[in-house]
Amino acid sequence: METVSEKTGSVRGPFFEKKGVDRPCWSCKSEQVDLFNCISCKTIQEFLSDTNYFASLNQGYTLNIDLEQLEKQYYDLSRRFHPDYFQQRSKEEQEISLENTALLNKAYQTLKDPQKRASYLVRLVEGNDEPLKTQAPASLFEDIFEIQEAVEEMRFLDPSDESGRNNLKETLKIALEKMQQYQKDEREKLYGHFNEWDQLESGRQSQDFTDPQKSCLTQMKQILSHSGYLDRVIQDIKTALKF
Amino acid sequence: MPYVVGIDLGTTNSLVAYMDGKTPRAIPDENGQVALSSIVAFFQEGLSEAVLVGEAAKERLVTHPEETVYSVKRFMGKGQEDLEADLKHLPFVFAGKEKEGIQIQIGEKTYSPPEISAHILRALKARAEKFLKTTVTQAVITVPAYFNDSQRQATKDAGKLAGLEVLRILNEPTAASLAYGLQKEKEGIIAVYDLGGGTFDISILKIKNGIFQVLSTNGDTHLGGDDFDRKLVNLICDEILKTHDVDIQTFPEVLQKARLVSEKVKCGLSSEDSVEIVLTLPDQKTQYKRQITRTEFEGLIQGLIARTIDSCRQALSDAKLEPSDVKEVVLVGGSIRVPLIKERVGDLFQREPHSELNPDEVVALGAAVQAQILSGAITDMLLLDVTPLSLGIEIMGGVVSRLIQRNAPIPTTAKETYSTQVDGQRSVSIHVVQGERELVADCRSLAKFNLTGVEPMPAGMPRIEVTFLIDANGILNVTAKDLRSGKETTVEVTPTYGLSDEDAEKMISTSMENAKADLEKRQLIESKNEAETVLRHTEKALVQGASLLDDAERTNIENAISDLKNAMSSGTHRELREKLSALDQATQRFAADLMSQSVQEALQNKKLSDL
Repeated sequence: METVSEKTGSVRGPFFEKKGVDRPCWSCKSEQVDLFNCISCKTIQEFLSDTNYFASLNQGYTLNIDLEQLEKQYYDLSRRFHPDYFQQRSKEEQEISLENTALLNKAYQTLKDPQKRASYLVRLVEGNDEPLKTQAPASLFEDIFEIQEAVEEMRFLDPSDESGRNNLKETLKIALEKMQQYQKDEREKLYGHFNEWDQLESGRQSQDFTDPQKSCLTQMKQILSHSGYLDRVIQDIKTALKF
Repeated sequence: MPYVVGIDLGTTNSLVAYMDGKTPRAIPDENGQVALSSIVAFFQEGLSEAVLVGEAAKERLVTHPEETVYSVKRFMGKGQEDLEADLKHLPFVFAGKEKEGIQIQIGEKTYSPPEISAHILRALKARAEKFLKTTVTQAVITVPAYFNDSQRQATKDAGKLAGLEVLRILNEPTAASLAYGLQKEKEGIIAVYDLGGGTFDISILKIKNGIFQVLSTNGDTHLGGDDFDRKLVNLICDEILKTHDVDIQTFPEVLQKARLVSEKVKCGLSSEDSVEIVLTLPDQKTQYKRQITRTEFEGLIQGLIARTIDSCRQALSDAKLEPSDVKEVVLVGGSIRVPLIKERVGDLFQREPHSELNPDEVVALGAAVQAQILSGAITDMLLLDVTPLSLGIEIMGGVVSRLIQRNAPIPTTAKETYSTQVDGQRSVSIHVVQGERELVADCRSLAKFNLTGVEPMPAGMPRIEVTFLIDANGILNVTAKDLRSGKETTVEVTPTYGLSDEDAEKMISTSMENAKADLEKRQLIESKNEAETVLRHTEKALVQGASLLDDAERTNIENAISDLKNAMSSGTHRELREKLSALDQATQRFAADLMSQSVQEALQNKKLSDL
């Protein structure tokens, strides 16, 4: 995948190429506009209104991402859009620079983290704006209930009850390990689905995502909703261990 | 081309710098001094009022303590309630009402902290104009990275009052990194440890190809060299009270003298093993004398230094880094001359901190570099900074819904859709808060505003979209829009002073008490909210899925529902969890049946082109 060419200001790559020029410059109305700049008056152009995080960083819909390449893309685009470089320009240009950079920043924050990246793809395909709902994995219901009990007990423990504290801490530590191991195993599964998704995506011929892709996403969604819930449980255990 | 200058508006000293070709330089006064004491003295001259800034004002600290303001940076953007602990140490008088910004009373008049800071800025502006032989109207002003929104706004206001267009509010450690990067031309991860007179910041940055990307920042806007002095002052006060039965806190001149003596002693102990403290008591005859060793002094301040090390650890963990990932540690600020700091910072990062740069000037120099970037003269360097504190909005039960996480790169936006809670509700009030705690009451309230003219509809029907925008100054703008009527209100976020808030630095709770209480309250609120949702869904499902149930199962579920309702009105968190879990068990089979019908629905018929 090619990145933005510094010299000509022209861009290539799946998104930047596909979207092409389909709107006139907001400032001089010239039709000679690439994705970021008007070729004739040089003013900055807004991201197209339907630009999603993958598109803003010129990434395909793949889940295994080359982080160095992503960072380079982020830096290159930051150099183009950042408000610091528009301080002496018109108010309109300053606003566009601000909005483009804000989108870029959020996109980078999301895509550089594997779990956020996968959640975002799920929501994108579902057309869902809300964060994914978290849910406790059924197989861990009992453990979670016990953890909540222990956290609770820890809170109301008589400060002088050293042995009680130690027992509870032991219980919580064991639970913590179990939760962390579970998370680790789930993450492995998730990465398995990443590979599966990418393979399906590279073979995709149609405009639409295929059924196998959708079912792959459903499985990832399940894992993500569990791991989101367990993150919170793990956080609570860690807090309680400090009591 | 007019100069855009860089200004370090410090607690103790302030500086102004400019770019001399490709080199940033601090601008000296006529005596060759670059540091201007951040002290403002007011006095009557005939019928008019006169103001002195800097060294001249410093001389009046002891002679006219009530009219001479120092360390005003500590009060920027603060409310009355923030200051309780400080009041007794300060010789000047605070005025103003509760829930309002601080006012400092000088004679008959009162001044806000930005007004006083503006005097310092005016002096620096005049110095720069004289030196550069041109008018200066634009500046970059630095603030501690950990300053909250109110404190940044106050600093911007001060610039405005001084006749400066503030092109950028820049974080101090980030500024330092620019000056460092320019000189060293090194790449990799660096940590900037910045301990000034009144504030502490730690920032972790990645430098690559001229990009200075802040990965995380942490700090304490109420911790600095002043606090080291105060430890010594307290020691002196206590000892004098014990041995001479005199409370020097009731003698402003003597107290001020004690502060100045303490400052000298602290500086002396950076190179000497032992220094003598001498102070003349209020009777003007008796002298208090005692020898203090460096070890003794270190005993007094080690708790403060430990707090800075905790902040460093948090910053590393937020950046997902280990101490060994940091390639270079840069020390900034006057207080880093205390040897114990170098030692402790070195221990943490396992390497000798870097201190070749002048720790007093480097922030101002970096501000000058940023000024040059903003004026378009430097195009190969770029700063990518972050917001130090999470931002959120109050939701049901006094819980914070976080919209922007701390350390998010700025500028950034976040959107969230809210609804009404009562049928026919016509306005929605939105409460914006900043901080890391779970409950609104424990975060800093930034603003409350109303979105009026909501179409009257049943509860939950309206859709109100709230957008937070943090600009490159780290300053917040909030807009809200009723998605059904399209009506929009824009909100200038003005500080809500003193809503029983703790300071920003206290907001990241480390104390167990807070953590315990937070957890308890949060869990109860969350469980109640969860129970409400579960009840609503279950009751709906009982109607919709009636055919999937037999009588026994239905009775079972209904009993569990009524148990849960009882627990909601009177129960503890624990009882609620039990009843929730029981209901969950009772409905498991039923839920699974319902679910299997709808699993794939959401994913169907989505086209790539719709994305």
